[in-house]
Amino acid sequence: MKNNNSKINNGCLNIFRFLKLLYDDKADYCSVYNIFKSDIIDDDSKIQDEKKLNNLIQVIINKYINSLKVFGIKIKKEKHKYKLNSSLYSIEYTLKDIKALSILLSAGNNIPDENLNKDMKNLKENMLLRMNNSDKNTLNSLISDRDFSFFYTDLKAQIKQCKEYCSDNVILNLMYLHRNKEIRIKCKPKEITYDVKTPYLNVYDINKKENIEIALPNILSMEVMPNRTASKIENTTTVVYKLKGRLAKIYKLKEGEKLGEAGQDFITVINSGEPFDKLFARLMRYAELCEIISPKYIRAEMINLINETIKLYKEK
Amino acid sequence: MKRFMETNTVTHNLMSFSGFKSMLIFSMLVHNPKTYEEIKQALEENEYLKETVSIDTIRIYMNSLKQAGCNIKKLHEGRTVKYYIDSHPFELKITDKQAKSIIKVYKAISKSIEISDFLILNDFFTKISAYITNEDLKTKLQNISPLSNINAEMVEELIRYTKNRNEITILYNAKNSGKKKEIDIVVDKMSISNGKLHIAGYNSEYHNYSEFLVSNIIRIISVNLKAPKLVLPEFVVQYEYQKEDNASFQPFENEIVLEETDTHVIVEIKSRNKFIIMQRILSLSSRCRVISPDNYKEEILGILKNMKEGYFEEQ
Repeated sequence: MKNNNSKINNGCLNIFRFLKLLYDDKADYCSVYNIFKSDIIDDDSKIQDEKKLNNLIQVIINKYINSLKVFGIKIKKEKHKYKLNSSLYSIEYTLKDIKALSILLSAGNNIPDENLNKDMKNLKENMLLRMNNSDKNTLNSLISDRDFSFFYTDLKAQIKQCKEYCSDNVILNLMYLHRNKEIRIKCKPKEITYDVKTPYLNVYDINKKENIEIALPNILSMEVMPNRTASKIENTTTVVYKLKGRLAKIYKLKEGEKLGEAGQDFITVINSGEPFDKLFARLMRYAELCEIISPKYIRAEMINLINETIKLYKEK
Repeated sequence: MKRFMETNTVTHNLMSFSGFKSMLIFSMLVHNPKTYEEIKQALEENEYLKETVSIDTIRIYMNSLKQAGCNIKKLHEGRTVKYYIDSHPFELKITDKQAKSIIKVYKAISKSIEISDFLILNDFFTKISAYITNEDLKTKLQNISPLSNINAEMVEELIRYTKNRNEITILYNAKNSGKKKEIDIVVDKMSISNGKLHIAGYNSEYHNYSEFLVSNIIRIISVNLKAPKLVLPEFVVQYEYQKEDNASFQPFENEIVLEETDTHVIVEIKSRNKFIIMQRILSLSSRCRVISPDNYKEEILGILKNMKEGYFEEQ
């Protein structure tokens, strides 16, 4: 005889299997039917007549659906599939949590990236499913309050095009404006990043072996080259720089950075992947507390940049 | 079901009672410890069940819930044992793709939101990271905010004091000197720069406008609510910027464009913190030349010369 520690209530297991299908959005009629069919087949009194069996299973399904409804869970049937409209439980969100979610969802809606929009939509649905009604209403009203619609509205078509190039893993012949000059490069588009108002195409310049970030409005033309990228592995230039004094003590490593040496009054930072324009602008800000160590040509470029800036004051 | 709608009573023909009881026990125990007696009482008092069940029956339901994928834990309070569901099959799951998209959205908006928004987003990320299984993404989301690892209550207090421009005394961990010291400051502004939260204000000890890392503030010692509100001196610098290609010049919040042609802009930048102006000017490097005041022009030129010397000293 089984003791209570091993006894199981089938009704409990069945309703949880049914709920699991509903939560995973996989509650098509056939899957739900199979939960209850196996239950009957396990039973000693096997029913041979298929029609009778189907009717019996339908009655059982209805009973379980009624249990859900009486418990207060809303479900609906759409195209032979049961869908959950409210949850068995709700996650406790504070007003601040809902506000944070509304910021992310509102901004996400305005980024012209279909995959991202889909991910954010799924996230929203999954979270709404586990939210009480009052929180749902608050979220919906907060989403409509937030306006991020100024984001990148003029550039949606161009963003879409660049996005396709990135996912297709192509090599581009790209022409863009840089310091009022037209520059042509052979590059591999990597990803789109977004600033407050400007989207950028990050590319890997195949000849110079460096990452470049190009503001989309500066792109003049893009032409797909016939050969596709052979390998995803690429050599990006690694820049090593030294930070001195107080900056060495408080510096927080950025994405793509590693700590090299750490001395009494200095640290060296190994940076890879940061577009050079951005890196130069950032390191200039650190003034005399920063010095590029290697590679030599980047160090020389930085010295040149400092000289060019000094020259501005001597010219006038 | 029709009859239920009319009479609000249920029968075995209408619904599965064991399914109903399972859901009731589940919802009672999700992150909410209960004794067997409390569960028993709730089943007895339920308007549809009104059923007396034995402790053994409850035990069978608990086993079934475990088998259904619920992780039931015990909590000992003196001699009383309570049970609660710690995790279950219907938990929210944030996929890797969704987590990456959240990070991408956050990066896109992080330069255009308020400190108070950073604060709530930081709390939210901490909360939802529990639903992310990929450890790398979980850590990334937990640490992405410049406010991660900073006491949220203290940040809220600082936001309030900054709005009122109060004089506060902070215990500050000055990493430069390695000493902890008390600093009096009339707080003026909070900002994110270089991925870190800073608070700026007038330092009455040194009589200058300084910026402090909030992560280095150990605690706020006192607030002088009646402190005279100082009119803080503001630095005004004008610079000329050679525009980049056909991109429009994007002034910072503390900047105004005085003049603009196709190739150049004349910008006026204002700040109580000279250091912030210096960083802005240097980051624009060879496209930017300070026009006025003359002494600031000399100061920037001096910094640039020091930078150059730094490269040749150690060669």
